[in-house]
Amino acid sequence: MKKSDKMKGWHVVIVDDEPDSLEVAKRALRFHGAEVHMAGGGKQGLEVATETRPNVVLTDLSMPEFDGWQLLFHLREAEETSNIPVIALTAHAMKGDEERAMKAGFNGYITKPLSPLTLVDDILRILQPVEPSGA
Amino acid sequence: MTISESKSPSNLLPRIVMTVAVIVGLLIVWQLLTFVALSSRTADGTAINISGRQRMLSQQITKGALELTTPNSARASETVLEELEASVTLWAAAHEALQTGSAEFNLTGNNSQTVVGLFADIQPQHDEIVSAAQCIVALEGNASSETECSDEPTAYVQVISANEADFLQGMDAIVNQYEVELAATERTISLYNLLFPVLIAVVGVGSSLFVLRPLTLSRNRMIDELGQAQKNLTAANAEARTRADRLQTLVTVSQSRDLPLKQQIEDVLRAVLGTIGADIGIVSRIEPEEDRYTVMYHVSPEGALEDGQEFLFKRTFCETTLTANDVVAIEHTAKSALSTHPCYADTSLESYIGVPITVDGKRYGTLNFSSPNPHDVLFTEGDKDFVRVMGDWVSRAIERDNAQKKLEEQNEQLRRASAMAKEANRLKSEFLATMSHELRTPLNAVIGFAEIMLNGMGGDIDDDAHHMVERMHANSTRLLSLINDVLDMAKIEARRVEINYAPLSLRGFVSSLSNEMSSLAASEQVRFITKIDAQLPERILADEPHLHRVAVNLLSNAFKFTTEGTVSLLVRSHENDQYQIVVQDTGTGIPAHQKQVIFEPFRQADGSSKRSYAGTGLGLAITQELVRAMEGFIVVDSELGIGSTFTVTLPLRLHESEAQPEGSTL
Repeated sequence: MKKSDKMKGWHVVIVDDEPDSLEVAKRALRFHGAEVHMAGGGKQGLEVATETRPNVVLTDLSMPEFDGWQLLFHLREAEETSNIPVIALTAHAMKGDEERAMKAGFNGYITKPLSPLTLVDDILRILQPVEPSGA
Repeated sequence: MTISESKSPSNLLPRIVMTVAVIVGLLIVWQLLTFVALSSRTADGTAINISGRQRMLSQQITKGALELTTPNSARASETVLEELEASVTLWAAAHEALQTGSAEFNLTGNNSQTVVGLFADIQPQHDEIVSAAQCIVALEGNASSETECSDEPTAYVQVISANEADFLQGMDAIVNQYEVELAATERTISLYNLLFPVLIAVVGVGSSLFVLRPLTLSRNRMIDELGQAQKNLTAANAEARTRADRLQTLVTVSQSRDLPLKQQIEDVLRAVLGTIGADIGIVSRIEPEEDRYTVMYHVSPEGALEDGQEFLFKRTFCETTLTANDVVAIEHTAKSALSTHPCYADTSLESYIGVPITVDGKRYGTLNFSSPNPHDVLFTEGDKDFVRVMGDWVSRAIERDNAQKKLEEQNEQLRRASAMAKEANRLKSEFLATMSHELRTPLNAVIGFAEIMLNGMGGDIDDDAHHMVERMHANSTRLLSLINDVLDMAKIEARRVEINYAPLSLRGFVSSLSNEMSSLAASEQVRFITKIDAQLPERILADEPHLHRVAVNLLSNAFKFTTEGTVSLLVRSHENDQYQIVVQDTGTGIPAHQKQVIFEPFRQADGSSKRSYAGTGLGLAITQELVRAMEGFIVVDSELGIGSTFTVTLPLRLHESEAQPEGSTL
């Protein structure tokens, strides 16, 4: 497969407490031209997102201490990050999370495990109406 | 009471009749005698009057005779003569009538001997006077006389005068005699008037002895008999009441099975106390080898006893009861052979009735009733039978209670075991769910990296490496599928499958399955066909994830066993508001004897020993459970070498807007 530029110029923040999951997602996104910022927890994710003002934040929901729900709350609360789209990464086992995530204010959800083949297309589909604000 | 007194009242009737007859007879006699006496009195009165007139007539005869014989008589001699003749005739007739009776003079002639004697005394004077008077009449009237009237009239006057005095004296005596007799008759009447009432009174009083006395005795006897009958009736009533009370007791106890045993038994004890006449009722537990008597249940005056209280068995009357092995009844201990029993010394119980009771075939103890007072009458066989019956009842009640307790204990054990099993199962399922999640996370990373490498996202790799990564990916995917099956099965076994109905487009469902599954076809020799019944509504209510899982499992299965031909998916409407998902293949087919086995967990049609096909063997088991959870059923039709058909039938739930689908024949 040839390198793509589907996400050229995008800044994406991925938050997950599982490093290997992060790594898989990072490689898939980079393959399509995105700049990827990784965070191993919610708190770190908030710092990184506040600093880099990404085009989208992907976050796992269940993480110790500072989870995905809290991250969304804080991002929405701060004015400078309130408009950043946030996509939830939901576990297959946790039934009902999808619906709850939509009600809580996530822009969309992608069911884990993330497939490197479909991840980028899923993100673009969810954010379709949203124009990339970055360069 | 003598035999005569015991005669029945009906024998009195002749006596009463006799008494009345005597009284009536006395009355008749009285009246007859009075009538006779009165008649006699009237006759005497008449005789007295006529006798008086005779005196007067005799004087007139004397006067007439004298007047006739005297020449210077004032009156005409013819007149005097007629008078004299009439007087003599009347006088002679009356004299005759007084002695012989005459209807003309109203005389009976029934004279007493005295009167007859007196008449006889004056008869000569009478005859002299009559003949003298007749001669005077004959001489003075110049008539021929049959008698010899030879003398001068004056001589005859002298005869008359000479006899008159004697005659008058005799007549006086006769009148006196008549008066005496009249007085006697009056006395007789007075006597009758005194005598007969007295006689009647005597007969009346006598009848009270003769008739009323037996009557009184009879009445007294009847009163006695009535009193006895009353007593018998009262006794019978008391007996009947006792029986009714006992019957009521039996009815009560037969209805009290829902109550706790203690209450049942105390109710019985109380009821029996009332009907048998005792103050203390006890159900005892007796352990002879320990010499222990324990009060298990009791009813007694306030504070006299307690449940659980113990006595020395040999110092209780129940010791005699167990020895007798039957009812023992004591009415008055002080007067019985048991007056020396230690129980009497300890408790002063004067009356006792007790029966042994046996529970579950073993001697348990006794049911006994006692009182510090003597029992006022002897205990009857009825009392003893009743105590036996109640003893049996208590035995059965204790047995029932024991059985109930045992059953409850067993149930409790079962319940605990069941709860433990459930908890263990829950823990197992939870563990499996957690483990599956933990297993999948690293596996997903493996699959993810393999995909990165296979798609060149991690840089170029040579063909050999590519091939190996491909195998890595295939095995990882298969492992993930196994783990998913195990997780699903665990959930199903834990009954944690929740069905959530949501609107679903059947056409969309079929087309997405078509896209998803076409890549599974083993080769170009297998065609995948999908078809949907046009009569089905556009949207229905369904649990999409579960329905998807069912379809995917069946299709995967079909593709797995089909090397050439077709795999088809058909969704169609079915009778009774149902619809069917039919998956048909031209694969190897399933032997008839394996058709049920394939739905059991961890089994495949070929048997577990020969695994010619990949898979956990959980797929069809999971499918069946999911279909059941959705209130449907699955059947398989298969022919070896020809192919298999799996038909899932599910209830059709219509989305509100599709409640009346156009063109639907359902």
